[in-house]
Amino acid sequence: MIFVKENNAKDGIVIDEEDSSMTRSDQVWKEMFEKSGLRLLKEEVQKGFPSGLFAVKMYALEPV
Amino acid sequence: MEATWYTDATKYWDTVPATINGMLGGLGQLARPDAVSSLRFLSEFVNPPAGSTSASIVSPPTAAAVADSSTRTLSTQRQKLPLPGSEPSRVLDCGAGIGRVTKQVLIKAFDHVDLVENSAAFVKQAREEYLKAEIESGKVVEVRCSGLQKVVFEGTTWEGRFDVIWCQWVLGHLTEGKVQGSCSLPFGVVTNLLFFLLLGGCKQRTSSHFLIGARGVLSKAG
Repeated sequence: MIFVKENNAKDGIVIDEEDSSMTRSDQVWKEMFEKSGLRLLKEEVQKGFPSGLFAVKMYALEPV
Repeated sequence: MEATWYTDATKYWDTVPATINGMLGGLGQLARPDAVSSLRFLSEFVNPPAGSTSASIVSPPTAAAVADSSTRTLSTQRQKLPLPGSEPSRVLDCGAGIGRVTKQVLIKAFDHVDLVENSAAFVKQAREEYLKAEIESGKVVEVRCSGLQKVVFEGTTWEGRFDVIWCQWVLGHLTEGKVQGSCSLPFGVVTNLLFFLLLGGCKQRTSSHFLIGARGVLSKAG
């Protein structure tokens, strides 16, 4: 299995040139999982983080 | 995407202190809610090793959660890892930093943990201080210094070895063009390819199976 816990942009992809990162939206992540042949078993939003940060989501994945 | 994407990321992380606060962008207070949620999320798929403190951290399911279980996803019917009769459970922590997630989450849910981390300074801190006791006890097996975009499973001790591969706050650094060095690909495809490569580290699948898959992605990308 692969577990992914990453920031979620509200929409599309947000690029940060300072640390060379791209924050993908939930939809972009899911398209990527699907194209990679991964089935999403469970997803959950991280709770208890301060507002103003990117949302953080956990995904549990396995190969199709 | 600029050719300096990965070297810029390395330079950025070189400025970050090798501490819990540094790992969390100055928000060290997020460590606990992060770890508790991750352990709870994992607990649906993984049985912790005997003697783990995981159960005391993950609060037992509430009556409401139990009542709601009929609407849950397929995961509730799944057999938890490690599968019966298999060797001790093992997880790979990707983009592990100094080992915060390893120490606070993964070591409680798995028998063994390996780490891969791009920053030499973070790897040094993990090996010599933060995870020293866990390495000495054999809970932590290997702390490998490598960017995730260059990690090699095939032909190494990591091939087909892991029950779970954990990627937290690292895939955002992965983008086009640099997986295995030479290809220039449209956005998204390379991270797809990364998943194929990561699956080469997973148990029950041979890496050659996934390399065929990866070649398929490459050929489609033209």
